Amino acid sequence: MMYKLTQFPTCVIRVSDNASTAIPFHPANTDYQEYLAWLDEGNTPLPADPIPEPEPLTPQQKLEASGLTVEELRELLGL
Amino acid sequence: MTSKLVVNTIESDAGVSTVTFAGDISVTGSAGALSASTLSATNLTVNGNAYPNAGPLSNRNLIINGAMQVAQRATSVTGITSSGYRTVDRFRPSMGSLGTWTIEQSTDAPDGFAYSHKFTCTTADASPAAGDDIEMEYKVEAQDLQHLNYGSASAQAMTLSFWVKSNKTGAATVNILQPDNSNKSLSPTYTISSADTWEHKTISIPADTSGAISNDNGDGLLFAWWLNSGSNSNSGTNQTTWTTLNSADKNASNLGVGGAVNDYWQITGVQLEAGTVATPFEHRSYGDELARCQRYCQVYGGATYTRFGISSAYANTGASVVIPLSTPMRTLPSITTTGNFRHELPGVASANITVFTMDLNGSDTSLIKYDVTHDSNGNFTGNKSGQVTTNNDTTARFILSAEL
Repeated sequence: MMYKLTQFPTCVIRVSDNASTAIPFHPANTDYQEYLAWLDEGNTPLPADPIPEPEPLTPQQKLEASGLTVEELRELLGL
Repeated sequence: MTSKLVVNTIESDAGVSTVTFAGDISVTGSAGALSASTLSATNLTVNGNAYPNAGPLSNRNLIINGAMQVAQRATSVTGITSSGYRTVDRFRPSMGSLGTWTIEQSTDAPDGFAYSHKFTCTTADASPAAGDDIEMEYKVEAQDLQHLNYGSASAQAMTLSFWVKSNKTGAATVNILQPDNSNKSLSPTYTISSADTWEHKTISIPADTSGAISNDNGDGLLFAWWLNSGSNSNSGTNQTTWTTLNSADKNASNLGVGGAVNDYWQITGVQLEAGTVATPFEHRSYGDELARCQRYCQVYGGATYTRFGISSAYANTGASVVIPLSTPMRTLPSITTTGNFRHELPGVASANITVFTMDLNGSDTSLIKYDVTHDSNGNFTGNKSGQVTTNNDTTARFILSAEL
């Protein structure tokens, strides 16, 4: 039995051989109760995985994200 | 000796309002008829059917999925050595260091039933260490037990009945705990008389006038059918009245399943009801049982690309996702995932999901919000709406668990 922290402060992941379980920090959730008991035994969870580095956006993706058309951008820039 | 009294009418005497039958009443025969303005008996049996002496006349069975119809997670698993819900909903194998097991929703069942819950030993433990154990657990939600009036002078007795079959014969133990009362305990016994034969068993559970069960969504009663254990659990005495927990009593009569390869134990038709009579099993429809099970577990997956959530991409590496649940769950669930999943913008892009995380902010028991982290893809920007699916994997499962 091992647990891993996540980027969210109210969720921990239980790691087993072929499954992963995301456990909310809610008092009535029995998986959370088991996690608290595991901590009380002196165990320490693994640190959270780093958040993946975002892939740089292409100029076309940046334009689409802005909602502008090429013509509108030209007009905005006075080109 | 059989005696016979032939009468046309039985009437109360002058000044007497009630005719009393001191013993059990049994009415049989195709031409037989019984009518009365009021009829009461401790044990009333009509044409072989026992009638209740406490509790309602419908929705009597406090056990969900007692006929083992629903198995959302899987129908068979092998190589099991640790505790956890595996196949049949609501019934939890619990074990520690006592053999290796195949656990399944078996189609071997007594007449009137389609399924049973079967444990088969594949690696034996002929000499369990003191703390080794294996049992099958069922937990009843506390707020569903309030009509029993536990902890008051009007507390009601209960009756547990079930069908059981094993290659082992002899006495076995069902341990019953009250988690709200420091695990006050009972450990009644039942006996398997014939090997490889379905037998119907009935266990009486006395009322407890001193231990109240909390009116909440926690664990109100825990039932454990013990298959085998070491001395920590089987060196005590079977307890038939509620008493302070003594761990050695839990499996005082040890059936010893798992001492040899191919030992097996299976069960179905589990019914828990108010009163001292085991009435006929209350069969419910599959849809009814599934809805009841989904309060504790909901499973998505099975198709090549099962869709199970509408997403909003907040970055090119992640998204938040919402799922309206089939039925409100007992509490905020955990999310267990096995297999391959992807986040997709239909017709635009998809990315493999690497992590699921539960988001308390925005979730409740009828709708949950979770987050996914996936491979970076520049198309996932600007809160575009997409969906989460299994990824070309019919074995992938997304399991929401709010079990007791």
